[in-house]
Amino acid sequence: MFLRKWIAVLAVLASIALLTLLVVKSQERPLDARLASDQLAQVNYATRLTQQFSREIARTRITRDTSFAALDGTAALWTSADERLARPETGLAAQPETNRTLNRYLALAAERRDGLAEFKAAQLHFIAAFARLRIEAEHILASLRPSDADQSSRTQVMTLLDELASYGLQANPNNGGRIYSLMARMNGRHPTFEQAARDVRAAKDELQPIADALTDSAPVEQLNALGALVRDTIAVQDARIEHYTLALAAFAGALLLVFSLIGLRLRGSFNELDGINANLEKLVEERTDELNRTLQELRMQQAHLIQSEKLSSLGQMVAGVAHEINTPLGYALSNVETVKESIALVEAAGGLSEDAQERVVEADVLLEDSMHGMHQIDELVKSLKNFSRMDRSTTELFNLNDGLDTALKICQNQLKGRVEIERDFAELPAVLCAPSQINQVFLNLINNGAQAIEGTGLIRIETRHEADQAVIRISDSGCGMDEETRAHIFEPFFTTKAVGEGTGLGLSIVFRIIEDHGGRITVDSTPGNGSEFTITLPVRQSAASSPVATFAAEPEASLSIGSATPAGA
Amino acid sequence: MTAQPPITVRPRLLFVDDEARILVSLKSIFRTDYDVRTANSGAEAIEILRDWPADVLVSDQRMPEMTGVDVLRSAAAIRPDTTRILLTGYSDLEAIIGSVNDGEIFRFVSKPWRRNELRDTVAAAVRTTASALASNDPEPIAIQSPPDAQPAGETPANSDQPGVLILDADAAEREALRHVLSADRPTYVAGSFYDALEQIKTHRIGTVITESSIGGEPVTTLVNGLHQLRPGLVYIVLTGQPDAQHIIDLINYGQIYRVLRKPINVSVLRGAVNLAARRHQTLERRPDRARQLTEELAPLPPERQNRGLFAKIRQFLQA
Repeated sequence: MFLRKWIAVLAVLASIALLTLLVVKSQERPLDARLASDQLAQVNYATRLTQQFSREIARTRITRDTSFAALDGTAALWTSADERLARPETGLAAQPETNRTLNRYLALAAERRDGLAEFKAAQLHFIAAFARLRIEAEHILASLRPSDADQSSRTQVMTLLDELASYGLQANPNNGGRIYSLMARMNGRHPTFEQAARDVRAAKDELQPIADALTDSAPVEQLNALGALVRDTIAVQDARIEHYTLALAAFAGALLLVFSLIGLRLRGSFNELDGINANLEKLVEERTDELNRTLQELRMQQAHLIQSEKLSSLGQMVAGVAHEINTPLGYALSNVETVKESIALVEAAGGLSEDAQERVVEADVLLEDSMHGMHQIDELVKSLKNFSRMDRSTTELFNLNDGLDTALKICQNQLKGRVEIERDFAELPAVLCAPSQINQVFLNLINNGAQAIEGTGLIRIETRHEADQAVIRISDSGCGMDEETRAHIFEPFFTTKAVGEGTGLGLSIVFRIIEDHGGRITVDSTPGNGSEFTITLPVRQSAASSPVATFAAEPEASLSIGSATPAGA
Repeated sequence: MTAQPPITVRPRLLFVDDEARILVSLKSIFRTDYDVRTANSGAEAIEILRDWPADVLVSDQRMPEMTGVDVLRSAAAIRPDTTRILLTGYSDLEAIIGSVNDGEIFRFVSKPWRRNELRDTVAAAVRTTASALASNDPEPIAIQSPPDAQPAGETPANSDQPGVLILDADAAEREALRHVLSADRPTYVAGSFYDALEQIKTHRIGTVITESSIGGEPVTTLVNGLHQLRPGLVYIVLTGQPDAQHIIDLINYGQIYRVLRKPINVSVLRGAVNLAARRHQTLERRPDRARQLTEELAPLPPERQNRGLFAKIRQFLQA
């Protein structure tokens, strides 16, 4: 995990570095390009001046200008252009090939300019020779008569002059020959003229190679080569930048792709995460629900346990107390009966005074009352024992009316003098049930009814045998309840009593007990008009008792029972 | 036995209770008609019994040192003919079962007692003792017989022997019991009261092994009714969820011989069945005594008398 993180960081850094490099490389072009175009401009300028120099040479020859002003100006400009070219800032010296070409050019250019003085001298020489020729020609022409013979001489001189002029400007293949033939035809008649013509021709022949050397194309060729080199450099650079740009584009594309992929994966991850979150929430909700249900269940079971624990300890206490009460009650009751019998014997024997007789009668009544009281105590103890059902079977056929009577006896103190009880019991078949639980239900409902009654009131208990069901209705003239309370009355921990007075479990336990017995319990109530609980229990139902193994698991026992045991073992 | 004028021979009653006032009270009830002696503890009662053959022993259950069941067990060993009654205010299940199996009590009486009822009970007990004494064939008292007193399989099952009827609503349990017992003697099974009556009618049966309740209905009425019509049958009750009141009723109205709690130890069951068979033999030899025992059963309270069933039993067995 740690390693993966570092690899990711390194990859990101490498990408950034590569991107920066590519951007820098692809952005080099403006600077180089400016330099290169500068170089090209300089080269072109130098080329133009070189060409202009050649043209000025030619123009000077034609115009026979003797001042050479334009030619000198051009040469000066050319010189300064070459100086600029040679400066290191131009950058042409930076590369060996361009440097070589540049130097060759500069040498050639300097050579041309150095040759300018010679050209000027040759030019001046030619111009002077030609001037002399013209003066000689005018001399001859002035001496000639307008005769025919002279006319041909005139023509000869004029033609030779024209030919020499042409020769001086631009010698053609015929010029030289014609000049020699014309001079031969003159035949020495005009020796000075002929000498002048020869001089012109010689000056011209001297001038021509000099001019040719100054105007040859070598410098321009070098400059062209230089330009080509610069352009090549630019092309190479362009190609490199193109390469970098392409690489940048490719890299950017790749990065974009990577980012897209990462984005997609992120989106996927987020979606997944969302899904997981939603799932998690659902799961958490489900678990919470489950836990809540379990908690509720556990609380119910705990409450039930506490309830049955209470009942069990009540049973044990009742059983113990019953013995403690029954022993003195046993002899007290028996003694009263014995005394009563003795008194009857005494009375029967007769011979008592009137006062004694009266006393005996009174004693009999008192003893009768004592017996009545003791029978009541006996009944109460029996009821308590019946109610707790200590050492009684959990399920049996049970007379529900007896259960109701037992419950009534138990909560006698709650009712006495305050709540009137109206019993309307029909004969009920014995119902197979758990009597201790059913007793608890009855006690609970009667207690609730009594608590709902403020001051005096009435509790009516009715039993009916309807179809295959035993129906028990317990109604009270108490305060009743509203719809809201009625709807929740059988829910666990729902209570209308003040905190600490009730656990709110009573009716939920009642509900569960009746449901466990396959019965139903409903409630009908009007606020201010009392409530009526109706319990219906099926008369016949399967025993809910837990089965008990028939035989003790003893090796001895298992030898003798069960078909799996080999016979005669 | 020395011949004594009948008038002077008053039945002897021995009462045991740690509460002296109980003894005073009981004595006041019975002293006019009986020769009454009292003991404040179990040990004292046993001492008295050694020299003094009481007709009836009435003991409390909850006493320090020696419980009522202990007293009854010892008394049965010393004076088997003495009829034993438990008089207690505490219906402890173990005590009740112990009083049947170890004490072989005649009656279980709850405190506070009704004076006249107790008088009747004691009178019945006295008559029972008298009929036993009149017999020269004392019935076997084999309290806590060793499990291998009659090893299984030694006595071959033969049809001469009175059979065993197993009354159990659960078929599997019925068959398991039959499997265990059929090696010793003919064994019949029944799943309902009517099946049981059918079997009793058609087969020679000496011992009835029954669940304490069949289909939620206690067998008390059936046992009581059968006593009337087939004196001499011996009853062993099996119970999974013992109910103190049921067992008390079965003692008082059904004179049951043994109560076995589930899960049942097979050797204990066999021992009980063998003892029951011997008791049945005795009663068969002495039909007058069997009838006497039946007569001395506590009368079923009217609400307990299942008229329909009773009539059915009668009709069935007399047909």
